[in-house]
Amino acid sequence: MAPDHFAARLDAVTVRVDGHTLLDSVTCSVSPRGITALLGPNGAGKSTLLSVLLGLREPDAGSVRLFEDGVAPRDAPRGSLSAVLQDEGAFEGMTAHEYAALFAALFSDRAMTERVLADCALGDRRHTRVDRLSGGELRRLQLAVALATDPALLVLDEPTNHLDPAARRALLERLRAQKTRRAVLFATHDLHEAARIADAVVILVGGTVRAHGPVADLVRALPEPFAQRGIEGLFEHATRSTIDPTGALDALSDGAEP
Amino acid sequence: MSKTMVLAQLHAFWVLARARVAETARERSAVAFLLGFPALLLLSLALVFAEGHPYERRAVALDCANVAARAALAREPDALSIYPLDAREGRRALDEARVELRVVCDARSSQQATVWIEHGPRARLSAVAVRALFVMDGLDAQLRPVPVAKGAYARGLLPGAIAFGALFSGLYGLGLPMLRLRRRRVLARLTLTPLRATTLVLSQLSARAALTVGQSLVMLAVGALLFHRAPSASAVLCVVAAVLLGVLAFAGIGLALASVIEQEDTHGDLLAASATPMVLLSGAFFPVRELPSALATIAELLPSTALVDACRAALDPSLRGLAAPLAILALWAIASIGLGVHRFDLRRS
Repeated sequence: MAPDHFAARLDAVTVRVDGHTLLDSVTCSVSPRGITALLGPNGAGKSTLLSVLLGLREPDAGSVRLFEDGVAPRDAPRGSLSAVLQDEGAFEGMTAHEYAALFAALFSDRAMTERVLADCALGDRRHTRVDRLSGGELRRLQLAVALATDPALLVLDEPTNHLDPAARRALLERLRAQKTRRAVLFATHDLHEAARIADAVVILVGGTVRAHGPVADLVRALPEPFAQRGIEGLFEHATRSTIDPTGALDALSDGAEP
Repeated sequence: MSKTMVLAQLHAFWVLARARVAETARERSAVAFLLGFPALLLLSLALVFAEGHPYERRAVALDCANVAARAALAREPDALSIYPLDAREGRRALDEARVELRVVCDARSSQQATVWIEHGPRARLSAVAVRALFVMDGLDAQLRPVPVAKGAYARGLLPGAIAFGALFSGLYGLGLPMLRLRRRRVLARLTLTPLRATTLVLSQLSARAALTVGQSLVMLAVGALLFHRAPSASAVLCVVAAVLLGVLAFAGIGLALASVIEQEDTHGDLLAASATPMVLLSGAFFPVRELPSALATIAELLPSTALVDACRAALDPSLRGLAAPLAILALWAIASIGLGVHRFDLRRS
């Protein structure tokens, strides 16, 4: 991959809030194709990093550049950057049809409404209010809306939160199908999820990047016994922490030192 | 902005506004509260105040520059509440039974001037008692009966009830929902689309205004049934104009406050705290001119006072006195919405 060939690149991005450093000179990039998992325990700075990348928050230092022409997030071409945010809701009283129609209107794409409803298999529940959809149905709808503009970069912040195992599996399969079409960056604190679909990882702990790059390359460079354990070994090696058998990173402290 | 972009914004405006109205229409409890509650409120007021205000002291509207006549009335400060009101306001107050009597005279011939005491059918005894005060001072005082319909006091509360409906609808109808959308990260998601903040705010505002106008029309219809006085078409249009401007002004205030106070609970408390003085000083419960001069000046500039005045003037057959409160409301609407849109950050999460 050429050095300038990326869907997103963060250079020395620092974010401070009330004297606390949430991101400390973060540098990493996202490949233009494939799935990059942003790994870290709760409070590691994943959502802050994604907010900066999406242009929802300006960094105190450093820069974010998107796509080949290196535009800032707020100048990204319409629909090229899309997302499902952490615990994202919807207009409570809207129906699924109205929700899809809103995005269709905004992107001047009348066919988008039906395409979204078909894509998330909610055609028969189009008149159901979004706050009465199940968590899995709502996430399917949001993902279908996010994909409807055929974005070059899709960002997902812990998209499987609060989903049951079946809905979680279905969503991961849906993401896996995007690998060859676009860049997908998804934040998670579940190593098993990352191991199933990620081509590359960014490991973030305490606001600093501990490792990033293609999974295969990073794992190949690991010493034994870490290499045998794939992403889990990679994470343990990068953070010098012990992973819970479930793969959840919740118990790790932000300040775990390598 | 390109033509495509403008059309996209207009389409999104329509989808958002229609969905917001539909959201209310789908909820039976919301419809009942929006339309049924005001009707019940008016019915209750009509029943409770059918015979006028039961606890109020005798209230007199004074339109009189005669020093001797004013001095005669002033001898009974504990028995009478005296409100200096000009001819138009005094007649309206008497017509709505907010005062029992209206004292009219001029100062041109001092002692020789005739003092007229206008009174409704139920206030003849009060009028006789007040006439005695003038006669004791050697003034020529005459009674002048005027028609005051039964239920006039309750009818006089109708403009205030419509105004307060618009006040609370606006105040709570935009800022608080926007904070809720921010908490649910809907606003952050929408910033990744071409949606403009102005489109979002105007769509929510329009939906809220449409619902409140519907509420006001229901109140006018119920008022016409209860008080046997149907408003003219021009009165209805003027009420709608006042309500629209009132909703815009108060929604703008709610949004401007939401840009400063971002916690929903605190924001709700602040709205309640700011609504209380605005309601009390609105002129719905006592004439604003009765207040100390500095406070009266402040009260007259409040959007709540302008809204109550505009609704009263709109329901007055002459429509006089409508322009000034509408202008004050328009200024409040422009300033508060402008400030709210400018300060409320959609991207913030």
